[in-house]
Amino acid sequence: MHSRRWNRQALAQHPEGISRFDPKTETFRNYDVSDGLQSNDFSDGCYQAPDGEVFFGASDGFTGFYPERIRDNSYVPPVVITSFKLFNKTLPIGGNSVLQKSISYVDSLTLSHRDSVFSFEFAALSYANSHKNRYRYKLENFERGWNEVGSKQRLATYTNLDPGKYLFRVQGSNSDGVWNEKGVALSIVVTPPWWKTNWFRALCAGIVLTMLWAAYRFRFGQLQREFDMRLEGRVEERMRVARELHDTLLQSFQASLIQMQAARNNFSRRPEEAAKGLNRAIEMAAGAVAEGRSAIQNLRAEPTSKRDLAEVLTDAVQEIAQSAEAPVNPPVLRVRMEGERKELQPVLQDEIYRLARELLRNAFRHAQAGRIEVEIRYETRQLRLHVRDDGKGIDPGILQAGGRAGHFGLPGMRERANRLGGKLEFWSEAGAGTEAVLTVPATVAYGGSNGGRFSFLRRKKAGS
Amino acid sequence: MNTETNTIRILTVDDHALLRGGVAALIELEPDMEVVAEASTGREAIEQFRRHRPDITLMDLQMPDITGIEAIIAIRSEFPEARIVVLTTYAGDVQVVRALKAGARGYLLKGNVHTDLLETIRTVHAGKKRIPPEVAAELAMHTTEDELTARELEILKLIAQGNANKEIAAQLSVREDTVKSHVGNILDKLGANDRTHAVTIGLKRGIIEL
Repeated sequence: MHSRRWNRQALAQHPEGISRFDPKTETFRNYDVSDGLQSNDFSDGCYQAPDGEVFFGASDGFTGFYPERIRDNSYVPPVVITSFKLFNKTLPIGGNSVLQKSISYVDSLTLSHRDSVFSFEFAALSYANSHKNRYRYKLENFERGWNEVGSKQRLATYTNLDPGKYLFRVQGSNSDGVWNEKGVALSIVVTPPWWKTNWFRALCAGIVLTMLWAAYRFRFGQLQREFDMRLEGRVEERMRVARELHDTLLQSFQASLIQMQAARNNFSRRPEEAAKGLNRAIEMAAGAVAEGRSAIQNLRAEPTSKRDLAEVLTDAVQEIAQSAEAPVNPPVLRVRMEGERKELQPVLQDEIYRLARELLRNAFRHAQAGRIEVEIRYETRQLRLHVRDDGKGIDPGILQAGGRAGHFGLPGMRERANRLGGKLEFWSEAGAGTEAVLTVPATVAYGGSNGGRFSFLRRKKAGS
Repeated sequence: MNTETNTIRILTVDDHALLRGGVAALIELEPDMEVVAEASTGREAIEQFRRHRPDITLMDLQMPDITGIEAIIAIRSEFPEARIVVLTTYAGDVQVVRALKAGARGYLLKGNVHTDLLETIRTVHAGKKRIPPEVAAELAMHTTEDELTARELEILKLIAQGNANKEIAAQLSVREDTVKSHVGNILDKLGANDRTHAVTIGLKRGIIEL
């Protein structure tokens, strides 16, 4: 390969034609047969005549030219998009088609998300050496750089575009590398499917927000109910304590006081009688102290929920048997269990325990029974708790009237049973003992300790 | 008077045996009076009254079957001359008014039995009425106040049993809003700050019982 320095540019011949190097831009411009050379296959012979004409030798002769007379093609070619294809098929124009006129005259296209494969063909309208025209295209908002292609690849294909707005741009150059920088642009809108539309998203967001709000309201209501229940439970608790004090401590002390007064009145006249009266008063006061102690024990009794119901009831039975309220011939107490033990809802277990203990104490104190038996039955459909005695029985009249609060406390206990979602029934005949049966349905009793069931219980309690 | 001597014949009605025993021990020492019968329920009281026609009946108000007030009304409808003294733990004005309307002639607090019993028996037996000063004061304090209506009374009782408004509404077959407005009226009339307070006042004044 030979080269000639000429006019601060260099020419070189080689087997592919002749190249000109411009040191200013550091670019080569290649010339070949299509530019008028007689052949591409140059040898290394060359010559410059005194008038400036340059000769390059090739296999079929030589090519001579004046370098300063070589002009680049300065024509800026218009660029057009010549065709648009969906799924590699040309579309008809008009009708239901995406194209209402020829693609060359369209400057925006709206496609559905289903039009997942589409392509454009384009051309620069420069016919001199058109095979040397070059092109570059890009889809703005999809790709950053230009795709530069030759004249044989005048096709751009895009697949599976996300919904959105795009701008397809093509630039072309003529055979001498003169670019139409403006090129042609076509805006494309790919419409989203309904599930990707904004209104659908807004709807989803709305639904989610509504659900969150509902959950919040639900929880708020739950807490409110809990709070109310605690408040109402407090009233009930206070009433219970007041009643207990009234029925035990107060009565004993009042009686004791009267006995003391009687003894005092008797003191001068019949000192022995008076001493007997004082003894009675002392006994009563001692009884009152014992009652007070047991009332306090009940009040501070630990929550029972951590242990088995049968276990805590056995403890209660022992406590009652040893208490000061024992009658002269204390009955034999027994706790039995039937069926496979199931986990009980903690709050519920505590309630059941309290009810059972009260039933037991009533029987122990008032029934004049020889035997009292507690039976816990874990049945599939319900939990049942029986408290039976073989005592004197409850007078049917009292049973019917519901008994008096504080003495038999039947209405109170029935209500408590109802409130925890169960029911309490009494069977009694004079002289034939009493049986109290507490029934709690399985859904309430064995609810488990997860929140949902728990709240179910609460609703049950609050709503009954 | 159904007696040949001057002895005051007494019927004691109370479901607490200890208290009846105490009263008997006090009366036993007095030459001018005697306990002729005892009863532990309201029904028993009516029966014993019929049988013994006592000069004075000491009547507890809280009993297992019928209340003391009901027993007083029953006895007085049969024996309008019956002289009955109420024997109770509380000095609540409403309960006193109820007892007096029912025809009780005297009122005796259990806490004062040891000092006031004999004098009260003699006063009432002499045909006078006897109400202890603290009970009278309690009465005077509330004379101008509005009484609770029957519905309000019912609701206050249900509150005292630990029921929520919703539960009360269900039991009375009314709307929860109605219950709420009743509760508001109850608080107003009793001058209570909240439900618990209303219950406490209700108990203190004898509007409701334990």
